[in-house]
Amino acid sequence: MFELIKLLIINQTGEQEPWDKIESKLVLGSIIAGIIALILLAVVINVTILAKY
Amino acid sequence: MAEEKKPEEKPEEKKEVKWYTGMFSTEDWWAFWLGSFFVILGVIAAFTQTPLTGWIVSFKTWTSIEKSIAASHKELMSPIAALITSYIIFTILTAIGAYFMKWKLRDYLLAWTIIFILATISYILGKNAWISAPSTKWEKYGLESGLQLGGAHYIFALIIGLIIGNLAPKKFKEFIMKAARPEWFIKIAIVALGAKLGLKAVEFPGYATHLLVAGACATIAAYLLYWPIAYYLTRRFFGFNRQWAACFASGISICGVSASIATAAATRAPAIIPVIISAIIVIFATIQLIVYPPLLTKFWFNEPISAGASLGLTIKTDGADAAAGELLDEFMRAKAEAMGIMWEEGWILNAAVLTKIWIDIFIGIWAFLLAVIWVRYFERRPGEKVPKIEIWLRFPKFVLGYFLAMFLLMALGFSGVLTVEQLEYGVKPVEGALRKFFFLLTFVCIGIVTDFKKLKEAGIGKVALAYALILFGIITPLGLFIAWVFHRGMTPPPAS
Repeated sequence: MFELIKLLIINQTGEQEPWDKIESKLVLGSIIAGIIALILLAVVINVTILAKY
Repeated sequence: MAEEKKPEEKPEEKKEVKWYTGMFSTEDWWAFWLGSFFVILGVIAAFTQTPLTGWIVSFKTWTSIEKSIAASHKELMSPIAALITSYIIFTILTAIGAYFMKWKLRDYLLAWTIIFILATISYILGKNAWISAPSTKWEKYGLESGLQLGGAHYIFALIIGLIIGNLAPKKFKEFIMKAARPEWFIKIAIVALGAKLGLKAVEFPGYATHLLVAGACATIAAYLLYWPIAYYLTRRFFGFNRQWAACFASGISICGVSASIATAAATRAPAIIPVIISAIIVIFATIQLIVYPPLLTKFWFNEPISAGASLGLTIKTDGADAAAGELLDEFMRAKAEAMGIMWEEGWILNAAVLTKIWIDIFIGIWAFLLAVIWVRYFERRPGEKVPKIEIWLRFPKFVLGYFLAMFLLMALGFSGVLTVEQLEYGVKPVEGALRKFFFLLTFVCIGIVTDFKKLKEAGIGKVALAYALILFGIITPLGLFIAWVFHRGMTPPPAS
């Protein structure tokens, strides 16, 4: 199923380009930063603002 | 979001740009000008206590149709006079914008008039007491039963628009599209919404600040997670090339149309990419607008503010997000009212709009970062620098109007220069009646510009499939979670 979807879409979205290491670093960096931001900000907001509700 | 830059423009084209470029030629700026004009008119009315905004037509819940409309300041003029005055003033002001944006004025005026009439009919029909009044007010209207469809006027407006957009003869549709500008109308309404938040902040100072901070935090977390996940999936799983994946990720995770166009410009992607993605974004946003508010009301009623914020995080056009926020506000309050709980109007809507506005604010920075990454890592153009003015150029200007209106009202209220009552006298018609009418116009226009047949054209159904899977499988659940993390337990203040 997923392979079929993949095949259908490839024709529409340009020739495939090899996955670059720098893409891994950027994606991983952003996701890690996002998770850290989510946790830190959630703690701050929950302890301060949301504690009042 | 912003559609002032037509997708047909080639993103790779370089133009001489200054900081003031587009100040009198884009929908974004004209939303700022018109929205700010109305807010300032309201503030002058508040200062002078003269009914400068009293002519704005207001739509009421009715059992006899002659009571369906009224002037915002009833003593000023008759209901019909208010409707005609509102038509004339809105027409003149939007036509000035249309003139400067170089639209065909005659076509705009005719099409605008039809859209104005359709919005008025939808509003009057939807506000019929049997259709919209909650059971707690049946006695007031002499009813024994009713549909209790709070927000029915928006649904009617959308249905009328969708009928035109999908079933009307091609010539008529092309004609009415000349004035079908949902993003413009909603941005004018959002500037007015800033005034509402400012006014409410004076009444509930802590609550407004909490909503602002929580919305900003949710946005930061969403940006850093949505984009890389969408990019990774499209690259690794769906086999998109980098430019496709970047435009797609921006479109689905940030702010729809304008983010996709901004990313195409930043990555020098071919013009066809944002065109296809934009079409998909608009169609899916309309589906979300129809589906999300009733579902959230049914299944997440205990978290109204989280539900509102989740719309801002998951619906990718400003128009559909604010429209869905307005619907959700109506649905949630109608349900609460039926249970004997009275919530202040507008807070759920503000949660939806605030999170979206924070997302909009960061578009410029995100596009700038992408341009730097592309130049430095993928295209390796040695010596090329990305001008910092790009951040300003990508900044959605109507957001300035929103914050300007909010802070102006807060400053006047908190400093004691004007009392809440004085502010309400001048500004309430703008943040209430005018804002809601522009929301109505937006609903009609969203319907008109949503052509479901487009999904079949040019084979974009294939890309739409990827969009649907990621939107409903990743973005929506993650958006609900993030909204809950930063807004859990918040409910609108009790109605005064």
